[in-house]
Amino acid sequence: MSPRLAATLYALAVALTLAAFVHLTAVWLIPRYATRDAFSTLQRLGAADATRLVTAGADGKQAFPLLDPATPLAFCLFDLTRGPARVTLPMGRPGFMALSFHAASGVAFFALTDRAANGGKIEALLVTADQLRTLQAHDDEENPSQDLRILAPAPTGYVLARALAESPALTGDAESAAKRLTCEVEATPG
Amino acid sequence: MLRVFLLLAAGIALGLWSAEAVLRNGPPFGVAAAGPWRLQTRAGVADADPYTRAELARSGEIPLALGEGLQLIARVDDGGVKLDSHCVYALGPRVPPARFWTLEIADRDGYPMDNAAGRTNFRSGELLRAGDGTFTIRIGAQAEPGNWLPIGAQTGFELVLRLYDTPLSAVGDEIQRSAVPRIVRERCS
Repeated sequence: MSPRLAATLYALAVALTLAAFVHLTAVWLIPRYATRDAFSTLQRLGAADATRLVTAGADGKQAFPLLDPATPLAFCLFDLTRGPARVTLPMGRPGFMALSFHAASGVAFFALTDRAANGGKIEALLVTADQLRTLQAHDDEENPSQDLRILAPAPTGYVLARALAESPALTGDAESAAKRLTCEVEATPG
Repeated sequence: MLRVFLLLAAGIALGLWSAEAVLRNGPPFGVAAAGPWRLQTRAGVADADPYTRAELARSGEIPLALGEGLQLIARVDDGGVKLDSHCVYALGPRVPPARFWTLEIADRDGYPMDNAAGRTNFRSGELLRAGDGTFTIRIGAQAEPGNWLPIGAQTGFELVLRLYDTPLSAVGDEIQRSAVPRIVRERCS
């Protein structure tokens, strides 16, 4: 191999290695610095502990891509550093309803549908690993807790309530059903 | 010295361009395909891969959780040709089992494609079906008898099929091609 060819190949290898490194770093960094991601947009739309409908933005354009017009959504933000969050969605109407739990990164880590409803509502207690340990330490073995405890992979994120409108005329009805979602901070025992 | 700079610049540019290209076209893996339909299998689960996470952050999309349902997106017809607003398509005859499903026509960024008829989606409950339960939805700019989904603008579009409460699983499972609706181009003007 001529020294010139070797030098060219070496240069190419350096450039490609650098390209691969930049590629992976960019993909890894995007979620950290994104400002248009769903969680950032929701933070602009509403505050913690309040339930808001996910509706059109100020420009009249839908606030998020790929929302289903047939399923109105309501959301609340959670911040588990303030304590576990009790999430409740009363049913009150037949038809498909669902709760989904999303970390701030956007991924959905859990979901419950109306098939999991108990006593006319879907209810869950969202906890961090530490809070789960504290709760378990205080559990009464004779009288176990009835709570469905969901371990959140991150301390902040959002909960969405989805209610299906079987026809366009039922949109208002589905919106008010989704808006009955509540997320409340609960005190930890101890 | 100049050559070293050029080399470094080329490497950085190639890295950034490839990252952008991969995310613009959807993540390279974690995607299941069935006929013309694509399905992101990793967006609705807790251990999503870095590409899926980056794609979610970039698009600002709220993914459908795995337990809620599945979202399938088609940008091409059964022949693999890009969906064209100058053509008429027939979609049918059935969809995978689900408690309820919706079919939406959206622009390439995923926002509803508005039209004069004011209809951007079909819900499984409002569909006209044949005696054997099969159906055809015609997608085109001109009004059609029966199930008609209007194309509202002279731009590219995509079809979004959402299956709620479906026994289909997105993780690991390939969806059978025969289970998803066909998208057949009938004519073009």
